[in-house]
Amino acid sequence: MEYGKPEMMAVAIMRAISDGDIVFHGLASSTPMVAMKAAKAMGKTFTYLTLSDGVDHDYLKPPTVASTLTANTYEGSVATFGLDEIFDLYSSGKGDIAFLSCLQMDKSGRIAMSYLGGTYDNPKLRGPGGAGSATLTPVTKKTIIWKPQHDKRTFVEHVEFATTSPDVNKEFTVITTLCIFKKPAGEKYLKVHTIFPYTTLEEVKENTGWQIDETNVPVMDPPTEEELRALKLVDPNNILGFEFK
Amino acid sequence: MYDKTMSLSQAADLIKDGMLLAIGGNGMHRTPSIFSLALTKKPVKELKVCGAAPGLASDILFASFQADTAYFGFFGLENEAGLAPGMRKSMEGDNPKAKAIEGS
Repeated sequence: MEYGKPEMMAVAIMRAISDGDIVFHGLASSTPMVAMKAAKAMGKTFTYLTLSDGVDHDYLKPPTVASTLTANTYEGSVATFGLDEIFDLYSSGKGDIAFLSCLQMDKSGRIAMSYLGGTYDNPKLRGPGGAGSATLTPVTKKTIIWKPQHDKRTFVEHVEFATTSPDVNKEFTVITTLCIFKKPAGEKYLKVHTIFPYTTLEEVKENTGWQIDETNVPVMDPPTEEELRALKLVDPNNILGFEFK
Repeated sequence: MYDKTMSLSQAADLIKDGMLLAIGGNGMHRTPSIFSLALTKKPVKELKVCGAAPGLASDILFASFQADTAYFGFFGLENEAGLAPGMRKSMEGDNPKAKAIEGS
């Protein structure tokens, strides 16, 4: 079965989830939505929380549009748990993973979501805002950023205005179309942790706006047939591909 | 039970200059766009909008320059339509007509 960048990213997300985890994604998050549904289809026993207020919805209800606000993320839920309750849960330190994204990021994992260029009051581009990331990032055990691009416009040397930034004492992961960056707990900067099978460390360096010092990094195993079948099962309308167009 | 049901025009008549509106829905979903379109037919101005994830209904009021402040966590139209064009039109550049006050 063939795969591309969407499937590889989704599989990287699926593999980041462990049994017993409490996992959240917010709105505008079709990539982690499909990946988390597929992880459920693979039999992983984690708790799925999202903005629809549904807990562990029926993962076989397929998305039909690239939104995480439609009925498919609520139907069949085992409980209703609102966004305010999700934030309370995470603020009490009980959230394992939050999947978040960004407009830009630098080597420290500082994330721009508010604006790009200009100033806060006179921005060149007004962004959508942090969507809770400033609250969740410092309190979540493992924040995972997914970004369906990997280029120097996104991964820059310095973010001018950080909407949020990682806690130095917590693990922080970034999954892109080419690789996985990690900032281990206790460290300040992101390092290339793993590259995907179809790229090279040189290509990662050429498309990253900060200096990468790593010289030898492992290659992630390609998606298995079972993982690809799970993605097809939960996403017959290929909503996963939407963010990669 | 007190019946709050009223016509769209009656509801729009409740809105006065400078009011803070909590507009329901998120992004492109369950958001009362027809109500906002009704407001664009009226001379109300300096509105403020708030919400966890204001979307299309709020964006219409920034596109018409009738809203001048947004309090929000996320203001956009998700992947389906991307960044909110009305908000961008009123908030970007040297002479913005509106301001963003982000929460969280």
